[in-house]
Formats: sequence, structure tokens, C-alpha cells
Amino acid sequence: MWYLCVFFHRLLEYRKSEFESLAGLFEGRGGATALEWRLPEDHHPDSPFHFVNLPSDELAVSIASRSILVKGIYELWGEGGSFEELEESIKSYPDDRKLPYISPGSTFKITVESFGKAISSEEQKDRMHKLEFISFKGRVNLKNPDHRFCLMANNDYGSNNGLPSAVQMRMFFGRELGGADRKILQTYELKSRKYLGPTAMDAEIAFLMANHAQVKPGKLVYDPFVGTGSILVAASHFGAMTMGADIDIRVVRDGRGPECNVWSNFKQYGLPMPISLLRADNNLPPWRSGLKEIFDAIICDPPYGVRAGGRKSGGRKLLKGVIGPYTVPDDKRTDHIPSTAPYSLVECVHDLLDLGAKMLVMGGRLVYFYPILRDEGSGEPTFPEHPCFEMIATCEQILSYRYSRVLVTMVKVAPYTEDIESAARAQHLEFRENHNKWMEDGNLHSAVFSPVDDVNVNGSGEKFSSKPKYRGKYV
Amino acid sequence: MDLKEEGRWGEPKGSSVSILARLEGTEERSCCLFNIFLYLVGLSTSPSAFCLRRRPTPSQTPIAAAVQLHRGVVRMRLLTHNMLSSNIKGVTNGFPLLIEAVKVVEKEVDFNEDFLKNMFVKVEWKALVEASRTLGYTELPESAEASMLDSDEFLRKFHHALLELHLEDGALVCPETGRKFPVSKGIPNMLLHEDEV
Repeated sequence: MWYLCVFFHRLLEYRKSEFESLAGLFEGRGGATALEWRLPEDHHPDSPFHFVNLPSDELAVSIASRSILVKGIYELWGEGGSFEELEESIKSYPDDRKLPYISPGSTFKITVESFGKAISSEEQKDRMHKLEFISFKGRVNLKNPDHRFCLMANNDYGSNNGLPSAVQMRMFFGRELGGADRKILQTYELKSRKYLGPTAMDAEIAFLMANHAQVKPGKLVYDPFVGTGSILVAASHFGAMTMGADIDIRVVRDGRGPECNVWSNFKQYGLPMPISLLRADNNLPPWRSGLKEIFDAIICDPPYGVRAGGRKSGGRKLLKGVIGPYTVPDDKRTDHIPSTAPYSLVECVHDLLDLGAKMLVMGGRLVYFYPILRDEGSGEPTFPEHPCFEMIATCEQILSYRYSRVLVTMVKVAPYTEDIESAARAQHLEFRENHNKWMEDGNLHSAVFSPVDDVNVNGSGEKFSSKPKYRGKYV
Repeated sequence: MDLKEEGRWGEPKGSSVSILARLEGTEERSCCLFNIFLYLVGLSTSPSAFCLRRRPTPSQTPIAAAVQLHRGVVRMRLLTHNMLSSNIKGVTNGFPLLIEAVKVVEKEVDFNEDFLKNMFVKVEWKALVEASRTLGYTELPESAEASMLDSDEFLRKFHHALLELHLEDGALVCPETGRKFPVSKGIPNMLLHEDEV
């Protein structure tokens, strides 16, 4: 059955993939879930109004109430380019679908909304009264109605104010099945979080990551770059068992005192504590050799070297490897603080995919952010690939003029074989031997922070003015 | 008296919230609350000065003496121990890591049958049995098979060993080289030295 799905007008690329991930979650499918989507007449693909084909009301309700970006899912009773068309359309909608919801004894509420233009309360009332031809027999209850209805319109706003280019006005009337509970975003907002780091993940994005990863109770979720635990907090909210590692022991062990650390971030919301936090290096993970297929999802925000750089073990040895291997004197072995070397993004992502391929269960998901430079000449961005993984979604979020981050969702579709393992080991050694070469290639920091003139070859300063008016992915 | 030196609270002075949380349900609660009150207003130097009954009796083994019901904070569990190995370069047999326990705590954790059943097939049973014995818990059977998962009693024991025994301070020791990976505040430090990479 076709439903009208109305999204919040933000994080545009995340909306459908979140929806499809949740559909897979509630139908018990780990792999890609492709739903049938349809746009209303004349609508831009970035419009908040979409039609989606779902097998049942129950599924629609489950998806809507778990999602972050679904404003509402509606059983559409009618639509049209004008009130006359809308009335015609609602009247022709079968009575047996309508009667159960407008019967005497039930309570209802109608809201009037418009996209792209604010409408006054008089006009709202006016529009509501035009619906009187529907014989509502129940009583109005604004606080806790049995049935909710919504009259929506996307207005003919004409001028471009950051929204998709103008379309014709279209009205929709439908019965609401459910919508996102955005109150959790207030509960978990970072400004009330006790322990924060410079790259703590925003609550909304963290929940979106957890939804893309199909987190649910009883699942084990791992974050190899746990930091202050902001991603695991979201996973834990949805009932997952969590585990995190970080190379910086001050962050995972000490925090800012006994009541301000990663544990306290879970305690603050009454969430179950992570199964474990440990200090480990993603480059040399300490997992026992026979251990595999244990995590249901791996969710992380790897260090890209823009706001925070990655580190890996073997610092002095790697840096001074030319002169001779570095040995820790025997009397200094206890309490020795090992030095670390910078960790290039390419190597970090290689290790992440290798870890996921080995440690994820079949059908398990790897969800992580991958940075890309927004260089107009470079064409379509390429993303990491791995024989064990199928790419499900890439959702871009623009961070600055120069770069954006893309939420990559991958699903494990093939087992981790010995061939893949030995290839990964060879690649690991290659990174180690040519450490300096790999550090220079793809240094995102210098590309993001280089002076404007270096990038702008013509020197005309046109680049900034050529920014498209339509904000698209900025919202 | 420094609470940390006393070794029974494990956390720096002044964390009265966690102290209260941990004392919940013990019969000395009111006595302790009074002491904490004195401590907070500065009349006493320690919140535990009069809580003599909470000290372990001499008949207990050293490990059992260190085990205490701990409601505040979670530390390293045996599930984690079961997943870790020594990954020092050249070490072929780094699993299971031996446990040197300085401080062990127990914490009640919500029981999740599905999770336990999922984990059962992944866990190295022998290593789990040995590790739980090192921490003073001897109830686990020597060997286990999937059919035992139908028994609620077995699941409870498995749950307790896997998730409720926590190593707070101590070390994990590489069975081949004897290298110690310290565990402090419940966080295992698995980072390798430069020459072990």
C-alpha cells in the first residue's frame, strides 16, 4: 500500500536511507532494502513529500516512531492542486477506509501545515473549515486524540529561499500513522552532556548512525574510536550492548574525574554501561586470533586528520626506523609510555574495513563517516571498497566550503576468507614500510586549511561567488 | 586518611554520590549516611570511620575479601577478557591472558537471554572457566555444550561469570612472554611498546 511520507527538511540525503534501514530492521533483513518511492506531481527530489510503498500499517508505524527524520507517515485520503481537486479526491476515497476513523465516540485532531511559507492561524482555521464536507462524528481532542489528521500543502513560494525551486501548490490530506520522536534529541543534546570532547558526535547524527546500523536490543555494537562515547550512547538508547576502544587512555579511563567520564555519560541518561571500554590501537587490534563474527554493528567516526588526527602504535620505531629499531630499556619497561605515530586516513579506513570484515556477523553493518574534498573538478567521489562488503548508502553532509563528510553504510555479504586476510596483512606491511609516503598522500588537513589562493588557480575569487543559491545538502 | 590509600572505595575523595550509590541496600546504610554527613561537614576525616562491620573478616580468602557488591561503576568483564589476546610481534600463543587481580567487584547486570545465547558460541569456554576461578567464582562447569542453554540455572551462572564479575585493578599477563598489560580503573591498556610492534 502507498503511504505519504513527509520528512523534516534537513539532512536530505539521510532521509530515505534511514527509512530503508529501519524497514530492513523491522522486517528482519540485514542487507539492502530497496523500497518503492514515488514523488508527487511536479515535485523536486529534495521535497519533503514522498510516496512510499509499504506492506503494512504496522511497519509504517514502527519505522515512523523509531526514525529521526520522518515528520509523519500518512494514509493519504486525498490530494490535489486546489481545494476543489482535494475535495473531489477525498470524496472518492473509499468510505470503508474512512468510516472507522470518523465514527461517533472516537476523538480526533486536525492540524494544518504548510511547507515553504508560514500561514496565519486565521488561514489555518479557514482551511480546516473547508474540510467540513468530511462528516467527522467524533469529538475534538487536541491533547490526546485517538486519530490525528493533517492537511498539508507545499506552497507556491516562488522565490528561492534555499528550498527546492518553486513548484505548483499541492495539498494533501491524510490520517497520521506516526512520526519521529524528536524529544530524544533534546534529552541527549550535547550541551547538557557531562563529558564532551572536541569531536563528540552530535546527538541527531549519532541516532541516525544507530538507525543506519539497525541497532536493536541484544545486539553488540563496537566503536573502535570511542572517544567520549557519544555514538555508543545513541546505540545504547536503542537497547544495544556496547563496546568501545580508543588509543588515548586519558579519554577512556580518566575523563575529567570520577563523575565526568565515558561511564558517567551513560549513567546520566540511565543507560546500561558499555560491556567494556579498552585502550587499544585500531592498527593492531588485540583480538584473539580465532575470534570472528562477534559484533552486530560497527559504528564510528574515524579521525580524518582535520579536527583530530589519528595515532597508531610504533611511533619512534616507525619514525626512526632508518637508523635502527627502537628498543625500550629493560629497567624502563614498566610504566613506559609508548610513543605513537600519525595514522593516515587511508590506512585507518583499510584497518576499519578489515576489522569489520572479520568481526562483523554476516549481514552486520559497518557505518562510518568518510571525508571528501568538495573540489568541483574531481567528479564523483570514490568510496572505499571491500570484497566482504556491499555499499548500501552514502549520505553527504557539507561541513565547510572545502570538504564534507559522507555517512557510509556497508553490509557484510561475504565471509572473511584466508585470502582476504593475507591480502590485508600484506597491505598492513606496505603501510608500515612506506609510512611517510602514505602520510603525504591524501593529507586532508592541508587541503582543507590551505590558503584560498592555492586552491583558486585563476585568482579571480570567483569560487566563493559561484556557490549555488539552492542550499540542498546544507540543510 | 586518604580514601584511595585505604583501597576500599577506589575513587578519589569527595565522590559522595557514588559512595551513596554503592551503600544502597546494606544494613549499615543509616550509620554510613551519618558518617558521610559528618565527613561532608568536615567533622570527620573519612566517611567510613565508624563502619567497622564492612571490613572483611579474616576467614575470607584474599580475593573474596576484595570482591564487593558494586553498584556505581562498571569495569572490565570476563567477556572482554575472553576476546583479548597478547598481540606482541612474534607471540604465537597470546591467549588466554592470565589475570592478576588486585581488585575485583561484582555488579548486577540486566539478564538478556538472547545475548547470552549469541555469545555462548563465540566464547572460549575453558578460558572463561579459568578466568572466573581466578576471580574467585567456581560455579561454572568444566565443559559446556549448547544443550545446556535450556537450563535457567546454567544461564544464570554463565551470565554472572561473563558479565557480572569485573576486574577493576590488576593486570592481564601474556602467557608466552610474561608482559603485563595493566588494568586500571577497569580499562585494560592493550597498547604495545615501540619494540613490540
